[in-house]
Amino acid sequence: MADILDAVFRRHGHPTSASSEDKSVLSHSTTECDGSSVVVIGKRGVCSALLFLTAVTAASELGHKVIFYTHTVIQKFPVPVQESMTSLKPDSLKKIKFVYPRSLEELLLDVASLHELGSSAAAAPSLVLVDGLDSYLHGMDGVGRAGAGGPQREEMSATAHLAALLIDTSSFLTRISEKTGDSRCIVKGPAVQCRIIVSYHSDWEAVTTDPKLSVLDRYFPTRCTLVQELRSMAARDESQHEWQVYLSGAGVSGGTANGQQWHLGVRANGAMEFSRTSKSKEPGDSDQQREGV
Amino acid sequence: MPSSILPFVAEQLLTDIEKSYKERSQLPDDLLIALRSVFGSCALQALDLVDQRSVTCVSSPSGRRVFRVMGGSGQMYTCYTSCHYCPCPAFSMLVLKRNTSLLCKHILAACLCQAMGLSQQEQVSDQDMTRILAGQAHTDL
Repeated sequence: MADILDAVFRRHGHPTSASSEDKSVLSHSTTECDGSSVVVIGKRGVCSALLFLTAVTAASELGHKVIFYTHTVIQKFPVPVQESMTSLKPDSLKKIKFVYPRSLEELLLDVASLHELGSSAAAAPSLVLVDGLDSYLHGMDGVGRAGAGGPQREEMSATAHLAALLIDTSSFLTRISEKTGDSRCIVKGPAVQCRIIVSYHSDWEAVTTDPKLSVLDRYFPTRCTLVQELRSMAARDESQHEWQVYLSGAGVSGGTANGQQWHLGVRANGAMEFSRTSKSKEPGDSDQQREGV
Repeated sequence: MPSSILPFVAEQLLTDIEKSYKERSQLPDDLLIALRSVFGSCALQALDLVDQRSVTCVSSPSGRRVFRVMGGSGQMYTCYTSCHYCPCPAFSMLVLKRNTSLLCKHILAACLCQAMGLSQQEQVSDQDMTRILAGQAHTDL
């Protein structure tokens, strides 16, 4: 999964920072990430835009069949994606199925039913995206889910249920693809592996205290954290923001202590531009970034 | 139950149990002691569930499988085959919240039954499997 994010970052890299080799990475991703699933944490707008860009890039350039779950109906391309979309194939949207579950129960049923597509590898997704897990988990009807216990325990149990179902479904769809010899995906590595990317919208202060995030870390080996730069936050023009993107966890080579760090600039014309910076510390270690994940 | 979550020692122990049970159709004392040592009191409770044949491996025509474990109170708990989750209170309290246990007795019972080949088998339709996976199945499925 992080290999897909890695490919997206390189595909939409800054012209001066991305070499031609990086630009052609999509046919032979030289990813340093090998996570099987990723949780993206950050502000709603930039997280949703990143997931949308990932869906379109994966469908158009990596050959993935994508399912995109989101609570909010998508009526137009997210602003930060519009410019980036111009270089992508419009037909790729046909390979993305957008699903709009209204509640946690509906989302669980939708994900649980994916095995019914399993007999036909061509119909089964190879990339499952869920935007805004928090919107399903905060509004959950958790009464009785974890027996007699506090609401926090019920939310943690519901979070674990959804995460485990996604991982178990990914494992099942991967097995089915391996059996049928499905080789649609172009990306290097276990070509038939079904991948999961979810986003969790959260403020930076809540990242270290939200117990649901610690539950997600149990199931998703890679964490992608988007931290808005302070100088960017001071800017009046919201369309021109700068972000630090931290990839960390067992799914990133080098382990949690030495993850990857990228810079994301959202330009006035809506383009998202990524550039590789360096091996990173965990977000929060820097004085330059804080706030506004 | 292949899982990167289960620490290596526990994984190796289950492998040893599988091998030993295939050869002798019983578990030697040293493995029982090791089980108790790694999983604590949860081990004895899980072995009780195994003895009572409380674990059922449910499968559907799609090939999807899931474990259903009948708890002591008659409550049915669904555990996945590729990662650890159980809707029981002990899992959410001791594993998720306090982080003091590796897993609950239901998941361990499912692991043991899989290792020893002692789970019951049941076939359901794909639609019923969907409801089981989503935690929205009636207990009599």
